Amino acid sequence: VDRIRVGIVGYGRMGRLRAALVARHPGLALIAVADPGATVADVPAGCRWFADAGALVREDLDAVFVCTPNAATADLVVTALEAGRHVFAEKPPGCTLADVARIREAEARHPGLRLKFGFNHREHESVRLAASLVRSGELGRLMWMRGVYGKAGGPDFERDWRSCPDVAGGGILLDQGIHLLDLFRLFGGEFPEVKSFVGATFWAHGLEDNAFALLRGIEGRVAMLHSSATHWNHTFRLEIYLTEGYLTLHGFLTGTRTYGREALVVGRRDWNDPDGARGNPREERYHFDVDRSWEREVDDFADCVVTGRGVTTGTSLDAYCAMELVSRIYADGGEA
Amino acid sequence: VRRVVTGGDLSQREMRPPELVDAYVALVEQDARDLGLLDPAGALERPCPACGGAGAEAFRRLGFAYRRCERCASLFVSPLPDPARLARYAHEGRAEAFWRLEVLPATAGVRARHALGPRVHWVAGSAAARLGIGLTAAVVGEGKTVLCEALAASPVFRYCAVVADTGAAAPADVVVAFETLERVPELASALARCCVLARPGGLLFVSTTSGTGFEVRLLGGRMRSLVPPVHLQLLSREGWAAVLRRAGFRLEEYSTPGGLDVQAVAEACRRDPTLALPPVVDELVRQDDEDVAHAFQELLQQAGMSAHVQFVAVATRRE
Repeated sequence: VDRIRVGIVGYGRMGRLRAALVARHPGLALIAVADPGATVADVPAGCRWFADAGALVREDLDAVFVCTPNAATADLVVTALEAGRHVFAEKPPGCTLADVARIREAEARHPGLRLKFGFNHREHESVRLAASLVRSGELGRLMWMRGVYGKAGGPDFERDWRSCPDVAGGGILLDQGIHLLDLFRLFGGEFPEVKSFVGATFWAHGLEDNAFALLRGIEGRVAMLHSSATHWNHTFRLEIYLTEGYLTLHGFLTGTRTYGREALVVGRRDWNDPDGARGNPREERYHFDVDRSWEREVDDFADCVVTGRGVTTGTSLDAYCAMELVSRIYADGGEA
Repeated sequence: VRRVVTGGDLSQREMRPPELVDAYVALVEQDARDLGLLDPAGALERPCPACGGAGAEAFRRLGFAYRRCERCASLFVSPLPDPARLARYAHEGRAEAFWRLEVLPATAGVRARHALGPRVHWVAGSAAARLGIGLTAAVVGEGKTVLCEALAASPVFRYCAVVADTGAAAPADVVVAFETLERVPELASALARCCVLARPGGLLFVSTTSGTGFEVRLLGGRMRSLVPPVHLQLLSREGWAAVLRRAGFRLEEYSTPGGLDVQAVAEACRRDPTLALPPVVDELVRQDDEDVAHAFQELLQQAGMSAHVQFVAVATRRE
């Protein structure tokens, strides 16, 4: 069987990570890389290099991975789709809601092509187990969620492309908070009501470094978000409270390993138990030592391309809905 | 995946009341004599039941020799008493009757809170997370009706039954073997039976005692809760992985969520002033600060070193 011929646009940290996964996948073959900041010496042996993404898209490829900074994402996804290529794109899916709408229009013109966005947090072990438990109904009805995702920025933060408004298109909410919004949707469905405060409190890069939001969804579900670039200790924490128990995801396996050991705490509302009745229930904590999220995304995308089945997670609708929440949080909270 | 349990007020004295355990152990020794469990006639020298490796004697308990496998570090009784005599011990012995009629009723409340309830939640939650709801379950082991009823009451299961050691049974989504596999004379056969009972892709939930847990490693033959006619093999994680693989299972989750190791070792120290532990460990287990004891116990859980093991395995052979 012929392997899927893949090109990668953007050969920074994410592009290299995806290249390694493509190389390991038996059904994928990395043919070309485009990045004006790289050279032919940087790319894997046997792989073509282009400075210009347009030239890469014109190559004989089946699929394109878009791993560029945010401002370039939408144009590249649309170009690749119009050229007849399946597309895998990193999050965020552009800089604005209009970007994602434009992408979806292009996708609709090419129903035979597959488009997937890299909301990889859905594929973390703790999230997968938590989602299964919520879906099973064993813990009852979801009432509310509270999520904190914060990073420190660090001494080089203001020199990073993420701190350049023209390239990033948004601050910490668009960069990292969008993952939490995607997880809120995964667990709790849609959230039509949005209240928020968004601001620049420390960094002088012209983008928000803190976003606080309250979302209200169906059946009165409420989700509270704090996305921060002034969280001097890296933190990921998502609490999910249901009528019969609760789930707390804390710590997250990332490339830097600075968000702590990934764990899922499961507790139950058991008022027949003396400890539970006084608000100190027995808890079970699951630890996860392996992150297969990136690999799972690539596997899923490859399977969609090979089999022709539709993308079911990380769809353009997921991207649109997450971006719509970002957009409404900005609108209500006042951008930096 | 590893699971750690925190909170609750599990107490060694509540779970294993010393006077009842002493009476039980005395009856075990008497049964062993009366039923000839230590009689060399009919006893079988055996290799490690997990991996087939050889083992040197690690310690003796109530006259029985426990060996530690040189390959996988599992503990196992060898020579193994005559299986017919072991069966008589289980069915006719005064010790096991005392356990059923005296110890279990006296500790029913604490067991329901700290053992039965949490384990049912564990099985139901993990099974639902992996397989969905509306599942069937088969419970292996005699006298497991309370467990079976508790599982059947969960919305995750539509049917649950205790199954006999032999005979036909429809393959189930979930097979539960709690405090069972350590006491079978033929571990490989028992696991093969579990594999037949599970549908392809079905799950096996096991609770048992660890051969590499803190309590048995420190106390060896002085471990009060170690009862040789019952605990015929205490496997290591490596041992379980090996024997499960041969039986057609893949180990999916392995945890040691026990809550009594530190208390049990401290109790052993109190009972036996001559017991010499490594000085730092001795100081830690004798701590008066309850928070330190809890933290130490949690550390043992995180390190996979508590005596109580729970694991999930997936039936793969017929997939």
